[in-house]
Amino acid sequence: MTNTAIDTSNMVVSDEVAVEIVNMNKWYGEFHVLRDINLTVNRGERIVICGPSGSGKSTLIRCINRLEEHQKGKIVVDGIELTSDLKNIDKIRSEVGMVFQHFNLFPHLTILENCTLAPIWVRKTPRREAEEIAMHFLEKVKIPDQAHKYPGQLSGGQQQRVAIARALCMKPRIMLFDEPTSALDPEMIKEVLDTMIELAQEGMTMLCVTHEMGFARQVANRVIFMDQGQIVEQNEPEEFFLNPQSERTKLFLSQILGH
Amino acid sequence: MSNAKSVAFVATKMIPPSPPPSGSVGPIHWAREHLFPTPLNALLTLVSIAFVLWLTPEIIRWAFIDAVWKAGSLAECREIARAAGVEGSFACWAVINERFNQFMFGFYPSELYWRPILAFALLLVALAPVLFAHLPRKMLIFSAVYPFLAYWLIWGDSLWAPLSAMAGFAVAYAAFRALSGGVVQLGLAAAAAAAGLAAVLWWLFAASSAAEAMQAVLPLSIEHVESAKLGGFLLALILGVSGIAMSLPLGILLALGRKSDLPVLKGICVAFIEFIRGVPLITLLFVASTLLNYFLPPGTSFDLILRVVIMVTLFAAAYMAEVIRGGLAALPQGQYEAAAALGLDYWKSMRLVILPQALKISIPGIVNTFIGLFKDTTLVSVIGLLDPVGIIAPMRADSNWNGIVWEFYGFVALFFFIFCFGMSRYSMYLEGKLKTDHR
Amino acid sequence: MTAVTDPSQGGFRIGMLLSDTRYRGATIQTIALIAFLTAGYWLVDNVISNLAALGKDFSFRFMTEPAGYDINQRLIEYTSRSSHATAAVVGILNTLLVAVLGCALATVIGVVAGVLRLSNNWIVAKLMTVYVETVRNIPVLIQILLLAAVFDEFLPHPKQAGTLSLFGLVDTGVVATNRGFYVPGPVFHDGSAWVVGALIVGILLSIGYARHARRVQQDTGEILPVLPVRLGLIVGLPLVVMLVLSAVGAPPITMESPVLKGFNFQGGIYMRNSLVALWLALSIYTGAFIAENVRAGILSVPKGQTEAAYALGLRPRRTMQLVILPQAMRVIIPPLISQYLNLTKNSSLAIAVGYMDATGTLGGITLNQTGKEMETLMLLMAFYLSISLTISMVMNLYNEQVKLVERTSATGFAPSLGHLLNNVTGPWRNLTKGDAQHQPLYGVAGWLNLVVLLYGAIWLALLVYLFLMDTPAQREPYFLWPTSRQIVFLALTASTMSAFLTIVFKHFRAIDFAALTLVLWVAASLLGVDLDGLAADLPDGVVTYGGFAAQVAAIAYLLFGKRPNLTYLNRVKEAG
Ligand SMILES: Nc1ncnc2c1ncn2[C@@H]1O[C@H](COP(=O)(O)OP(=O)(O)OP(=O)(O)O)[C@@H](O)[C@H]1O
Ligand SMILES: [Mg+2]
Repeated sequence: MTNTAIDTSNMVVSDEVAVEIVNMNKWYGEFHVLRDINLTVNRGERIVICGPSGSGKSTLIRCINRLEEHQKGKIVVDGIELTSDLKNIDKIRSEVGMVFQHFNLFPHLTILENCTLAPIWVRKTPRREAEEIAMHFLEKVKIPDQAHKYPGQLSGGQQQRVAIARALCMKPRIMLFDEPTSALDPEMIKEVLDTMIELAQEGMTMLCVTHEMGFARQVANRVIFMDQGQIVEQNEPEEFFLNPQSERTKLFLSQILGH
Repeated sequence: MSNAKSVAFVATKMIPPSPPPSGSVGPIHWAREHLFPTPLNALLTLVSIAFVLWLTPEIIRWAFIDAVWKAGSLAECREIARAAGVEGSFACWAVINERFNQFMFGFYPSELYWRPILAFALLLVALAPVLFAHLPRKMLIFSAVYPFLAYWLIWGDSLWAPLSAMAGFAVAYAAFRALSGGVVQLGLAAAAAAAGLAAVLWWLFAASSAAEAMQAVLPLSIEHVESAKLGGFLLALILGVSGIAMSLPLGILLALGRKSDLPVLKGICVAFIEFIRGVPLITLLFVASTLLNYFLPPGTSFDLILRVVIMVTLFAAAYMAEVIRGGLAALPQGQYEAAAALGLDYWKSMRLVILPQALKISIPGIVNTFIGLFKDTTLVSVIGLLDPVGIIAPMRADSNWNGIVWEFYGFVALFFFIFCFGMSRYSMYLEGKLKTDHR
Repeated sequence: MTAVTDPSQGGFRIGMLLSDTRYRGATIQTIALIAFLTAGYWLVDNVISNLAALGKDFSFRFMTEPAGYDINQRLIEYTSRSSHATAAVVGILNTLLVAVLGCALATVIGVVAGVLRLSNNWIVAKLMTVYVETVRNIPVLIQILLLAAVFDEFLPHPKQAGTLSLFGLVDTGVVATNRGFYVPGPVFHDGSAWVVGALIVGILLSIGYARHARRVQQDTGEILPVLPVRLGLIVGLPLVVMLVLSAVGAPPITMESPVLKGFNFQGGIYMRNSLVALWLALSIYTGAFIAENVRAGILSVPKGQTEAAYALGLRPRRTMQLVILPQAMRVIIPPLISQYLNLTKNSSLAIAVGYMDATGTLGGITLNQTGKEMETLMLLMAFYLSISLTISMVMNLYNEQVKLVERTSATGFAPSLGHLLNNVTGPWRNLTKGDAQHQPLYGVAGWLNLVVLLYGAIWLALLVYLFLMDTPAQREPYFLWPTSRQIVFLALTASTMSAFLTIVFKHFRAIDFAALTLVLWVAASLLGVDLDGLAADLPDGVVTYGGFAAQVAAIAYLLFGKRPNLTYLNRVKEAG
């Protein structure tokens, strides 16, 4: 992925805080999954989270849009604190887009309907307008011609791009990605990553769980390494990869880059 | 990337896991999550608890504490209960006690009870190698002989009749060997067809005279028991076990026929399956009891139980065929192609590659069909057979016991529940085992 | 045989009949066919000689003779002097009655139990598991007999019976006695036509409102409340009319409660214990199976679907409505329909408790009295077969529809008449697979479809006939009618049927049939067939022009209907 030069003109990080996590703790029953997480994400930041399996990466980003509930600490998204207040949850969920490892497209709806569902029912957009928005984003992920097909008729890479477009249709200010490429073949990985890079170039705030180190080097302005439910190390990508400080990070990087 | 320097962070130490805040684990938390999450749920929970707390002691009281176990009639039962100070209803198990043998054997002569009991015990022996794969395969020979043995034990009469019936299979086998490999070289299918024909000819024309001849030479017989005397759970088991044993192979054949690409064969199988599945079993039992004799040569008639077994088998086979067809359809096309690529012919590829997998997939469905068949055996009471359900009517009409209901049906229901529940658990066990096998 | 010229082709030898793949199939089939025909011949021959030996003949003439027995639970007029045919009709209606009642109650029980089994309320979930496991593993016949016996033995005599109440709170007005159940029933007075009219208007308005709401949402995005308003229109409007009329002093519909008169209750609806026992037992039994289907259906939707919907900001209720249910329904409905079919077939156990359904009349007393085992059992089986095939057909249409929308995942397994045809016909199969190259074969599929629909039409015809002509004198067997009337009647019901199917399924294959019936219809009226004579009770012209209009409307609806069209044909067109 070194061949494409990245246009960084729009990738500015502002001082405005998008997500703030303070001393957040989460348990599954007796199991302490997230331990004292502190993280501040500014608007326009692109953060890559990596770490061994089971370290709590997915749980962390799922807490941000309340797919999981945290028990201690504070999460503030876009100035709204996540509590069990339904109104706040609704507001945050429609501001935060999420892309899953297994796409999770709705198989009974066409691509277009997948994309218009939430704008129509959550944002109360008129259908025609919603469809225009959807077509715009489908063009952006380069599959406008598939709009009337069903998810089952698309390849994995295409499905994941639709999932991205679906999230974008809600015009979110923050995007969460949970290993968006790990269920894909190498060729498809590229098309999805290209879409994500484009998104980054437009200045979207992104939190991305991924092990695509090339992607991290290219677009991230921060890489976070998690292990055993806590943030072990975070740094700028160059530093992180060339100069890891913690033993765990070194071990992890040697494993992941070793072959 | 102005603030890059400020982000650098390395954890100095690992944070040890700490216990969750109180209230998010433990029995109270569990109860709040699983019993009283919302007011509506709390109400439901309270109603359910009240229901259980009321019903369970009530049933225990009715069935055990206040129950009367020995008495000669319902009136006597009531007296005993009143003497014991029981108020309200109670179970009068005395009637089950008195009629236990009828529930078990119908009107089978009591001095011959050992025969069905022996047959049942041998059934377990015959079943063992089928159910548990690790037993020696030689035991299957006994399983093969068992049906004839059981027939003889239960109905009695000359041993030569079942033996000569069994000889039909020997004739078929000999014919098959001779035609497929030995004397003449025919295709496997043709040899099998010819062998089948030979067996049918044997049964139609030679079997009975052979049996009579042998009987004359060496009389080997035990007391004959008429079909009309069979009843109770004995009858249910006879119908269930023979239906189960015969419907599986027939169902496999039908499923293969339905999947074959020979239109005539396929048409016949499809029509048969759809017809049987489209009508209620009871109409087929009516056919067995009133109509089947019309289809036989004038003057012949055969036993009602046998006719019923045939109908029940055909009925279950049609359902079985659909279950197995589902299993066949679930197999990837690649399996068929791989088998063909190995040079296996149709029967070999079916027997060695396709069927073992398809049957494995369909085990839950097959067992469900078995359960359905076993439950359906109760329908024979409608055409006047004295199965456990059919035998209740005359007992209820008995003036000594007039007025008893729950005890009769509860007892029979419990019997069926134990068998069917057992079978369904066994199927779940197999399913679980299967899943791990595949991994 | 000729000399071998080409080793790969070869000449013909007898042995090749079996060893050569070209002939092998044909040989086997010929043998199978011969064997099958021989067996058939043998059986028929036996039947003929057996009948001759008994001095019986094979005819259905006995159906017009007086039945001579009473049926105490009936929906239409019947006396013991009515014919066996009428008795059979009474039985068939009784079967349908218990089947419809049973399916409705079983669905309610099944859905509630299935959903509760999934609830995170531990004790409720466990109780439902106990219910399902217990009921499924006990033969339904035992449950029916037990209930019937309990009703007969333990319910009070009418003289001692009072009305049942719910937990001592609400008086239901139902009287349960050992003679049967007496339920309050509605009595329709003169003004009831207004209430029915209000109901129809309410339904029409609610449809109009739903369209309006959809349009508003399309244009402005505003989401109007649909369900409460529609319910209000359908229920509220007739209610208001009723209240107004009652206030004026002429209540159009009153509830009549059973009252003890002499030894029995009079008034209201009377249901024999056998009917109630059969109904409850079948519903409880089938409900357990439906609960399992519902549970499996809901579980079949992966958790990721809910999460994705939540992540998009949808509320749980909307997620249920827009994401979970549409997917779960596809899994639930096919087995649900098979359960309905099972319930209908199991209703034949009525004979064990003396409820006079089709089995009890046709296969019971009529069989015993006339000694016509062959004929009565044939009719009985034909009846059940046609019900089964009809239900299968509906299920198949549904499956096909669902499959078109979602091609990737299998929608369960539905053995049916449609499958039968699928298997017999290549083109149809290709059609459902969605191969656009097979468009020229639509004609073939259309014709096959015709056969299916024609059969459905015959069945519907029978029903319409039973209900429209409720007078025993007119209820002569269909096959005794004049041919022209037979054909016309068939066409009438066929057109109703195809119009119905067109509207329900918007299925492109219905259009072939609608067009054909239209032609038949016009031809019949041009030839001067007395179409209106079919339903003499209706005013002149209603049948002739109504049938015509229904057909034209159906075709127009299919062609020009603006609804998002789910039919395959349109999909292919859209995809280009
Ligand atoms: N619903 C749950 N209940 C209990 N434990 C859970 C649940 N979900 C996750 N866990 C546990 O929490 C830990 C963190 O899970 P998480 O999915 O966040 O890991 P991850 O870092 O995303 O791993 P991966 O790279 O495999 O996706 C794991 O040990 C997992 O077993
Ligand atoms: Mg993860």
